Amino acid sequence: MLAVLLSACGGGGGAATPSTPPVAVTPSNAVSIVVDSGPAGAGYNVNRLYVDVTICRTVSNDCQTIDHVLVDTGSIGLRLLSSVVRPTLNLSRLTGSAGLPLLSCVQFVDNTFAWGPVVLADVMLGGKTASNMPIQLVADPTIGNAPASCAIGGTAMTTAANLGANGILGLGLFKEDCGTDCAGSTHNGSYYTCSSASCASSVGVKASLAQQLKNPVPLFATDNNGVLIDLPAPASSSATTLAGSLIFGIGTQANNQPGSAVVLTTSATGYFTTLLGTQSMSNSFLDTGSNGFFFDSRSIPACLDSSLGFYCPSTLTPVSATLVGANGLRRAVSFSVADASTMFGDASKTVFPNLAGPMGDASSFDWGLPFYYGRRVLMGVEGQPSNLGIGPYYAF
Amino acid sequence: MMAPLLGLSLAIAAAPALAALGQAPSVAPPSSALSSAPAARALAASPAAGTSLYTSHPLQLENGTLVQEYATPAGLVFAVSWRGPVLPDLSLLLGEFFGGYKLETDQARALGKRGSIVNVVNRKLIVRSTGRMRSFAGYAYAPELIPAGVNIHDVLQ
Repeated sequence: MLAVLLSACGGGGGAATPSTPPVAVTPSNAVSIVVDSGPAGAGYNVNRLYVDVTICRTVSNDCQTIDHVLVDTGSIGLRLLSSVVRPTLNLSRLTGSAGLPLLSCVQFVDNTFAWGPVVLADVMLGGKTASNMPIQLVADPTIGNAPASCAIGGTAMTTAANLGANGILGLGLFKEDCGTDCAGSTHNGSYYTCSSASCASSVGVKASLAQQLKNPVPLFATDNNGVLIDLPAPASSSATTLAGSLIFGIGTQANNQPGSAVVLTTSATGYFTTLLGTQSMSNSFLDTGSNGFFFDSRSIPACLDSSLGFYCPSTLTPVSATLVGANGLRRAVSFSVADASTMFGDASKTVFPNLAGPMGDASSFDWGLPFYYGRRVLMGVEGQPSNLGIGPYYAF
Repeated sequence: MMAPLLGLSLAIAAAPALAALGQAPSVAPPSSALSSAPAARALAASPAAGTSLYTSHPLQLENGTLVQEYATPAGLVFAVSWRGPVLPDLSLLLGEFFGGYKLETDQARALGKRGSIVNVVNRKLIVRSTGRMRSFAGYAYAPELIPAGVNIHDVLQ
């Protein structure tokens, strides 16, 4: 099914070869995902989940498949490095209030940001299509540098080497990356437009919900109420790669039935509570874009060497926690923490189920990609009904 | 969700700049200073509050993020905190300390810690920056600038 659709779409001139071998029979609502070392020249990547994304110029068969796009349930919207998008694809730009290009800014907590114009594309993930969707072309050389309010002194994501991916596919709990704040306020920090035709500088601008970057899932014709991330458990404490499936829809097909999954609804901002010992962490979330379990332990020692920001216990340390939804439902989770320095000693490995680090925030537990190993995790998108209820929620 | 932005006209009348660690806290400048107002414009600087040991200066940014500056009685900012839908300009907030923050975050990414929360802990600077799209929070302080008798964890609660 996947191969048929790709050839019908012109095949594209992909940035590189696909990361995983074609699957013989892939349901139309599923696409392969993989944890591996990332695109060529992308530095050292651990616990990073990638997918192939196909983009087409709207109302055309001119398409391109881009490999190694990061699957990020902590953000919203498709953002692709402009350097990997074929210029002849000629994606049309959206414009701001004065008819000049609409520009998107996204900030990440690791002191990086992505900056670039908003363009329209038909976005294909496996057999599903989100037509006419605004996406961001990151680091487009025809647009001037980001304003200070976007850059905030951070590092611009401009290449696969510093992004660690060819793009980011944000599949969070919400429909838009900003929402009503950006529709109503000019200085919203997320959307800008060129100050002049040269686009050398830019100013803040309102962006309607229709103009904003989007979660593609609600735009699908069917299987549009959420996603299921299905990853196996690694066979051992480290692995070179790990392959699984990104499945669209919840309870809409045989392959996305929730079974005995417990629904944990979230707050309006997407948080639930984690109970860890006597600690209650009310700003907790699941995030495939974080590469470890991040939480403040009262007993596990942080690494003192170059493995900055991770835990380095002398022995494998078990941790048990309880996740509590806004609806009061609970789910117990156990995992183990191992020495990060030892893990990083073998650079051929990219899958580390026991990688964890301090959060620096006693109110928050960031359940990163290792949480997803060996689980089927469902995420209901805000406002979308399913047999588990109306999103936003997590279920596993 | 963030509260609606009601004070746009106030922003035009007075757009205080963010102050940095080690400098004086934000004050509303005369309107003639508007042309040099930073892109991260503030809606309003509220009156200072605090104890005899330090003062607290809340600053509502127009992008919806609330910044708090904490200053010594002598008028030096020793800590800042933020919470809101986008990050404040950390290069402005951290001032002379920003270089150390940038160095450590660059190193963390090079070592494989990408896209994750940031902890900087050294003798000169402590930074915690957490959250994700639409919902960020964090704080920074300079341990050497904390006034005697102040428990920083009480300040930042």
